[in-house]
Amino acid sequence: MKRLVLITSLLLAAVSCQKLQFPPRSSDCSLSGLKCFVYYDMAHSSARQELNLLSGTWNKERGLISYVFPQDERFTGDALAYCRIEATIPSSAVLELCDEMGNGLGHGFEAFYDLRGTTLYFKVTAADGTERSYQLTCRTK
Amino acid sequence: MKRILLPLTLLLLAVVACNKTPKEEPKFTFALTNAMVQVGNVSEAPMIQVDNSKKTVYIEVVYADKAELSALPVSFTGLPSDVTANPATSTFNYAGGAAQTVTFTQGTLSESYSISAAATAPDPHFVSMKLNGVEVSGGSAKLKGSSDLKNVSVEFVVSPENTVVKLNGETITSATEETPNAIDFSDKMNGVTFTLVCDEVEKTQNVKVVTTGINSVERVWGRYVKPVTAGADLWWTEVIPPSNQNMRTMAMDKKNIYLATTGKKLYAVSISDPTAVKEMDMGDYAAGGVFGSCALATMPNGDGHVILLSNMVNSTASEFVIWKWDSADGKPEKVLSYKLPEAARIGDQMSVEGDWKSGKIWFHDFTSQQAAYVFTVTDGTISTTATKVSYDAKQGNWSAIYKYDDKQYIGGGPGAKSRLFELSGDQATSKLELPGAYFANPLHGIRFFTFNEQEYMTYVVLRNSFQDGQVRFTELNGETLLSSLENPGATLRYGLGDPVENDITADKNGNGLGNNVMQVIDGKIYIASYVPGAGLSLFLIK
Repeated sequence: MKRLVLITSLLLAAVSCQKLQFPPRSSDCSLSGLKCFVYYDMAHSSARQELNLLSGTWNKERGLISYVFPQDERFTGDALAYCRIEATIPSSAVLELCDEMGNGLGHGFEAFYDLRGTTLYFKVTAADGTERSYQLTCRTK
Repeated sequence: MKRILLPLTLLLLAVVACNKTPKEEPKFTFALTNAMVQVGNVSEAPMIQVDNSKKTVYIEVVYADKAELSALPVSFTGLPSDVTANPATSTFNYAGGAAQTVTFTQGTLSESYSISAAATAPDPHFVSMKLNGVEVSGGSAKLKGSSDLKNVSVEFVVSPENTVVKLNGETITSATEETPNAIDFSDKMNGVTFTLVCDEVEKTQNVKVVTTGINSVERVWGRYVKPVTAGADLWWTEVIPPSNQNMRTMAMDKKNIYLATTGKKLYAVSISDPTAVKEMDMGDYAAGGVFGSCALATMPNGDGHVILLSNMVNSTASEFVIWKWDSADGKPEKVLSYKLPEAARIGDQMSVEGDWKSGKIWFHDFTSQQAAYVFTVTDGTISTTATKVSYDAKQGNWSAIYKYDDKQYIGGGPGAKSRLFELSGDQATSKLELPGAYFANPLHGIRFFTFNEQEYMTYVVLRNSFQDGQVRFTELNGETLLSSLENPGATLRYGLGDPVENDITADKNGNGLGNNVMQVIDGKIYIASYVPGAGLSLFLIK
């Protein structure tokens, strides 16, 4: 009996020393899509136009995105007061809205933005903590 | 005691006096923001990226301002009152990746920032493009189906201006009067892919043509009285006499095309099999007048059609009758008996609107040439009285009146040029004599339809001194029917006396008659066109 207790204790001690092997955490903090939905007629929520913001000037290396809205009556004046932004990032990453200094303001985008001459700052943090800052500037012609 | 206390107190005071409060170390608290960086001499506001931890400022001007990089004015404004920049304003050559150092001083401390600038990569693209003068929108342009898509004129404006446009490796330039181009857009499925090259950047842009209106008109079958093309199908002479005078009108439902003689005979030709022709059962059909049978039409009736045949009368108190068949296999039933109240002549042609539940049947008066007798149809019953609609201009003899909408009607037939009338009550006022430069005389069977976003007027026109005829499809492009007819669009023409040759000499149709009718069958538009003595063809609009 004493021998059994001894062996069990040894085994438990060995198991407790065994470190669990977790898969490496993703360092992917890339931005693969950035869409804007312009609700140009708030009286009709279905009246919206989807735009690919990355189709503007997109400096991938520096995370700089500049988008100029097309010359279309749907994208002038008050029409741009209600815009929703959607980003596509890795499922293991999180997006945080920031101020110009890089201070976090909260996770995810807000419901609506007025994108008339607006610059938004945000960062994407990968599962392993790797961060990438992005700067989006939207303008009208 | 004094000897101890006094020195001790002095010593303590000395220690306290010597114990200075530690002076706070000055700190550099300044942080540069984008708004403080002002860039001059650029056409569009550049992107500015400040990294206060790395002490860098990156300025990205648009490609159009690339040349300005060699002397780009940068200044720093709105700095806190205790901060200065050196240089506060400078024009620097940033080309080739050069960086300028700017020192910000706050009190006795300074930090240096590295300022660099670059231009965005060019984004070669079409600012605008026109195909045959039609704006390309969303990657495609809508051209008429009748356009020559193998030779499309392409005008374009590119950005940046130094962008080169290539097609299949060859540089192309925008079409001008002096240097036209012709590009093949006939592959509507795949379109044309242009390559735009600017500096080292290449982009492709696909442009497609979407056709509106008729792409083609297929002659499903034709029967010709005297064709000149070998192998063309001859008239059904064994069954239907190829009369050029006494078989004046034609009608159509979704199964058959109907032809009536002036001698009380009615024939049905199968739409799906033109060899299947038959003489219809006339049952108890009885009618007097100049012609015992003459005008023919069909009216929608539920899922099918009724076939209506009238006699033709021309004297006061004559009995004008209409007989009805429910199908090509049925027997006729008399549905109208009307005593002509005056010496008018009606029954040469019949035009209908609406259906057998609620419709109208029009008979133009050959005698006055300025009136029509209009019967109403209500729940399968034809009114026993007629409304006489008067026109303020003559509309020929063997004519008919065709509806465009509730207010606008067009007259067609020999003896007078076709006119557009505006109807108000029982008065029709002429608004336009169809311009002879576009519309020959006579026109028959004038129908309107819209296909592939394009509105058309189709009609039969007599040719070669009434010895041949054509069916025509004319684009209506104006804001109104009137303006469309004043300046009609392109017209497609198909001969009726022969499948290939036009204006042949067939049997002269001395009265200048003909008809042209339309049916939508399984969602497709079929047109049957007929000129007595020349031929009858069935067309499918594609």
